[in-house]
Amino acid sequence: MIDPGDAPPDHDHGGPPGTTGGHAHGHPDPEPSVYSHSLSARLDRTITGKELIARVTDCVNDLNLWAREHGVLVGHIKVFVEGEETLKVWIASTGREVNLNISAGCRGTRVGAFTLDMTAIMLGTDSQSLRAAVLETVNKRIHIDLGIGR
Amino acid sequence: MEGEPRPIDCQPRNPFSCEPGTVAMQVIIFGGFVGSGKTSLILSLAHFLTRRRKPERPSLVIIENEIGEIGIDQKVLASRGLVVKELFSGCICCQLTADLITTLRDVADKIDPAWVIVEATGLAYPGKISDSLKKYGRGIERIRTVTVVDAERWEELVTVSPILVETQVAEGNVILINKTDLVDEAALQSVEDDVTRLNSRAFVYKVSAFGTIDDGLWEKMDGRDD
Repeated sequence: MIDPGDAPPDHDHGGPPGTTGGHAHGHPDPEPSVYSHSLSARLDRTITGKELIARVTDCVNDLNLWAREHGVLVGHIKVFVEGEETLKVWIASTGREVNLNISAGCRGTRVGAFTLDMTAIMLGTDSQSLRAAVLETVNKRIHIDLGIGR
Repeated sequence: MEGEPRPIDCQPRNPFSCEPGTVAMQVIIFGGFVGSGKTSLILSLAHFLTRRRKPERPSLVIIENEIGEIGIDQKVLASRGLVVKELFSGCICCQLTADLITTLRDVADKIDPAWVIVEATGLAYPGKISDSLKKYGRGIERIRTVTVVDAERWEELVTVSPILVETQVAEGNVILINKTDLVDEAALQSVEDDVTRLNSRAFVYKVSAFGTIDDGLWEKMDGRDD
C-alpha cells in the first residue's frame, strides 16, 4: 500500500466508455478510438488450426480494408487466439501486413473450442463506428463461417 | 553534456551478480506509439534476460499496461512463460500512476526480480512514468526509458499525432528505430535524422523485431557498455 501523502495524485480524465479514457493531457492530438472484443466458442465440428488462423486473419484484413475505405489510420489491431492444447496464435497489424506469431505445430492441430481476444485502436473514427466494424467482421468470419451459434 | 549521448540515472554495475534482497531492481520503461513493436522487442529482451538468469534471484517481471479492456499483450507474454502483471483500463502515465507504484512495490517485496520491464500504452508519455517512479518508487536502482519508433509509419504518425510521437522520442534514454526491414535506406536515414533532432542525447539503435537482434544491444541496457 502507498502511504497517505506518499501517493501520486491520480487524475481521471473521464473519457467515454470504449475510448482511452480521455487521455488528452491537454494537447490537440486526436484521440484514438479503442474497441476490445472477446469470445469463447465451442464448435459443432473440429477444424484445423490453419483454418481458424485463416478466418481470424480475414477479420484483420477486413478491418484494414475498412480503415482504408474510411480514411482511418490503424493504430494497431491485435488478436490472441487460444485453443485446446498447444494452439496459441498472436496476430497483429498496423494496417498493411498482417503478422502471425504461432505456436509450433498449431496449424495442423484439430480445434473444437477456442477463445479469441481482439483489440483495435484507430485514429480518425469514432468508437461506435469502430465497434460496428469489428462486430461485423467477427460475425461474418467467425460466427457465420465457422457455424458458431447456428 | 549537451549534444552527447548520455545514460540517464546510469551507474554501471552488474545486476546479475547481486545477492537476493541486497540490490534494488532495474526498471526499463518501454514507450512508443501503438503498433511500433514494443511487445515484440520486449519478447526479445525478455528472452535475453531470462537466459542469463541466476538461480538465486528471479530475473524478470513485466508490467503490462494496455489501453483496451482485454490484455492481449499480457496473454502473449504469459504464453511464453514470462511473469506478467497487468494494469488495465487506464494509462500509467496519468490515471493509473498510483496503481503502477503500488504494483512495483508489491513486485519488489514479493518477487524481488533483478529486472522489471514496464510496457506503457502507445499513448503514454514515458517521461511522466519515469518521473513518477523517481518520485514515489522504492527499491529501484535505475530507471531507463526506451522509446520504440515505427520507421515504416514515422512520417504518417508525426503528421497525425505530432505532440505525442515527438514527445515520446524526446523523453527516451534509448531510441529503438524498429521495422528497419520495411523501409529503404533513404527513408531510414530520414527517420534517424528526425529522431536525432528531437533527442540528441539518446542512444539510437536501428532494429527489426522480426529479425535477429544482437545480444550486444540488450547488453547495453544494463549499462556496462555505456
